[in-house]
Amino acid sequence: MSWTLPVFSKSATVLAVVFGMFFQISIALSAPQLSPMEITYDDKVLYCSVGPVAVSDQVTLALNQGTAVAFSWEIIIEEVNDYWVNNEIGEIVIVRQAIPDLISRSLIITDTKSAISRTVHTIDDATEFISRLDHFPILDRSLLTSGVTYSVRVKLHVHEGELGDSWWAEAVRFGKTVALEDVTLP
Amino acid sequence: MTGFMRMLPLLMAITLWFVIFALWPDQPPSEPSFIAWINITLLVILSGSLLNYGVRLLRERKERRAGSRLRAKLVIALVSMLLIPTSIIQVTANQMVEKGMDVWFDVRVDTLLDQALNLAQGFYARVDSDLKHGLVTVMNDDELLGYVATLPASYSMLNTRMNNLMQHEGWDSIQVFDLNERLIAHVQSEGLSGLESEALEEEAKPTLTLGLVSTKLITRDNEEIAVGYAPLRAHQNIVGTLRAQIVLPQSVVKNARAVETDYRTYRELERNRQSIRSTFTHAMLIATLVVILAAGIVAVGFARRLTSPIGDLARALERVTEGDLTVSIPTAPEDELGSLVDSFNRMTLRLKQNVEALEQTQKELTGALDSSRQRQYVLETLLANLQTGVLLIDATGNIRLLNQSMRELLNLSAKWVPGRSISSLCSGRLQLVCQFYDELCHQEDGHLQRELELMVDHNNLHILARGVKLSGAGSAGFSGYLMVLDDVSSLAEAQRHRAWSEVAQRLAHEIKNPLTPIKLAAERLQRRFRKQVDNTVVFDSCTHAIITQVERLQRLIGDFSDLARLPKPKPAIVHARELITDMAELYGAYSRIHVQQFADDTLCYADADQIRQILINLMDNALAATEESLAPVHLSGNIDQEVVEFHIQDSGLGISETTAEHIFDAYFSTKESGSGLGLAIAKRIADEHDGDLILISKANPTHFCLRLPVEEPNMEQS
Repeated sequence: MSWTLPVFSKSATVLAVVFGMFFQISIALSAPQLSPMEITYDDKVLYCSVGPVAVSDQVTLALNQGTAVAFSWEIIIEEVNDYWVNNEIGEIVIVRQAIPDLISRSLIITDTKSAISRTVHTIDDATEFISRLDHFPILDRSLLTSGVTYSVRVKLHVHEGELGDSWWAEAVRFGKTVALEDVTLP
Repeated sequence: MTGFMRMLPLLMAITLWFVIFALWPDQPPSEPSFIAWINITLLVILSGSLLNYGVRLLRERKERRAGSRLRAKLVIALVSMLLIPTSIIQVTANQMVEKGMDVWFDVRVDTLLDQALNLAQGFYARVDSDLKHGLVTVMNDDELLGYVATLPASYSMLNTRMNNLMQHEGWDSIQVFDLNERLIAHVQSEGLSGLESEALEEEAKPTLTLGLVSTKLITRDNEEIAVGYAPLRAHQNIVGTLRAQIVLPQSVVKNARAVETDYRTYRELERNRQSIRSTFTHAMLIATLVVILAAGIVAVGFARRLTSPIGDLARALERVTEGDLTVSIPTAPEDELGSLVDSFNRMTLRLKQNVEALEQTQKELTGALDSSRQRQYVLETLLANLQTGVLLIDATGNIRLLNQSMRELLNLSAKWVPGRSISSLCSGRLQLVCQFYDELCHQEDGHLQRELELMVDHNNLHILARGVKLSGAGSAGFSGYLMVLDDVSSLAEAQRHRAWSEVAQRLAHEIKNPLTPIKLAAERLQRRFRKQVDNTVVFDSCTHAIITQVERLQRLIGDFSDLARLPKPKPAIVHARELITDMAELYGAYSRIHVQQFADDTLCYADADQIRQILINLMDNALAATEESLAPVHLSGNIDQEVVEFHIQDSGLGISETTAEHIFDAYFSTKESGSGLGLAIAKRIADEHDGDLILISKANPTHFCLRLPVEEPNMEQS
């Protein structure tokens, strides 16, 4: 006589599908509100200005209690397709971090992309720096075609603690879409 | 299994759905909520399985599948046994975590960390304050400013002054930069570590441009250095920058940074307190759900393994109950259930063998019973249809059996039934039967035959009685007496008739021969001697009497001869209508005869001459009966149930009751000149045609009916 494992029936499968639908709906309902974004350009470069993104009390509290906070901006430029997925033109990641020093009551703010670092003494200065992208160059204009509509999507992931302290923390970083704008070059 | 137990999986599934809604994460997938979603998934799978199992249990309640109840009980019991302790462990663990969290994040720890941090911050602030205060003092030192203004002539004086100020302020080094940020003077408490001068930091530029006193904390080579910048002025103009630094004590720095790290860690944990609790709860729940799911799977498998042989046994027993003894359970585990299965197989095999033996015995008994019933049926039929009366008496003298012929033969009363004693019944006219029985009982050779003369219904019957003594052996034997009574009256009558016929024939032959010469002689006398006699009247009277009586004797002898030598009928197909037509023509002179022909042309099987003889006899009798009244005579034909009927009716004088009883007897006549043989001969002819001649009505009208079969009769030998 052999052991036989019970097999989940169709009803369990149906329940799992319903559960998946609930999961997707919950994610859609929890999507954040979009922040204002401005796309500007000159002869050579496309610039992006976002924010300031509303900084939660949790971020302020973390900085106040000495925990480093990093804003990871992901800017994606796509060519809009009506009947197919968008064609990605470029993607740029900017990481801005504020590291508080409780002993000296100061904060070191850094831009990991440009390696700029300076010390500020108020949390507002630090959050202003990490929560805003002001006239930030994102793409060479030569990569874009005049008359074509492009979508610029900005995703933001807020990270508490030291960067790179766990590999899986980066792996599960999804990010929220905080700004979305279409642009058509003349 | 109770209804509650059967509904338990459904109730648990519903409860789990409430738990699912209670644990539904508020946030999109992040680290803690990801674990929550795993729990939700496990709960959905568990509730789905319970729902599925509950529906199956409800379905099996209607179908009543063998072993399903025991299996459900086992599964529910095993899962419940595990569910209750795991739930208790889950609740207990949650309580312990709650208590632990309260202990970890105690307000005293919180205060202690705040105070430690404040202490470290105070030390650093004090260093910073002292550094700034010293810088202000040094930047306003006129002697120092004077040496700076007279450089390079006053290098040695400047160094000496700077050294004095450094020692006075407790600094570790003092540097002086010009407007071009070049190092122009440098003293330090320790020896020089290199010849290259250090560049002025970026933070010092506001000092040069704005004239501000600023400080900065630099971390370098596992040490922290407090650096301060102050402008050097000459006549209100900035002529250089003073840079002073203090190397903080490593033990203090180490402790301060440890306090900072602990504070940060503590605050992070405090901020994530709810998350930690939630993570722990969800982790415990994952373990619980995984254990329950695994236990459920194992329980179902174990219950199936355990109840499968029981289900096979139950199904096999149902088949055995329905009469199928060929059932056998092929496989069985090597345990008590296997022993039970083997016993069941042996039991069904024995049952099958016993049933086959029983069926064989039943078949033989049925055959024997059928044979016995057949014999009994044959015997009963034989006794019922036997013209011979049979009477069976046991050894005690009680009647065991008597057939219908015996009752009819002796016209027995209702008292003659099996079980009654024959001695109590024998009386009167049946006394001879009891005497015969008594004689048989005392007969030594065991059999007896006698001829008895019994008066039954005013008829004198001639009975041939035979008896035999039955002496059975063994339990199946029967001891008693068998009496067989035959009515041999007809046989005796036939014998008498035969003897009489032979006598009549001889007498007729002997008498008939001299009658003709007598008649001729009388006629001759009448013709030749009538004129010679003197008294012709007497002569005529005498001769006429002789002739008349001779003619009567001739007719009488003719009838005797006919009765004695009635020829065998020669049947043939005869049209019944022709017989009626013949009678109508024969008696056409009589206007009072009314003939009604058959409705259809009917054929009958008869000897036409003999039938005509019967009809003529009946018509003559009817005409004779109506000779005075001239009443009408009716002759009609009819078909009734495969029988051809000839009806002769007259409204004459009629027939008396006594005459009617003997009207068909030979030599019975109411006429003076009749021989009394006409209707007897007619009756005999009808009987020999397998028909019948009956008197339907004795008077008003007198009605005779001759019945003849349509089909070919079985002619008896006359």
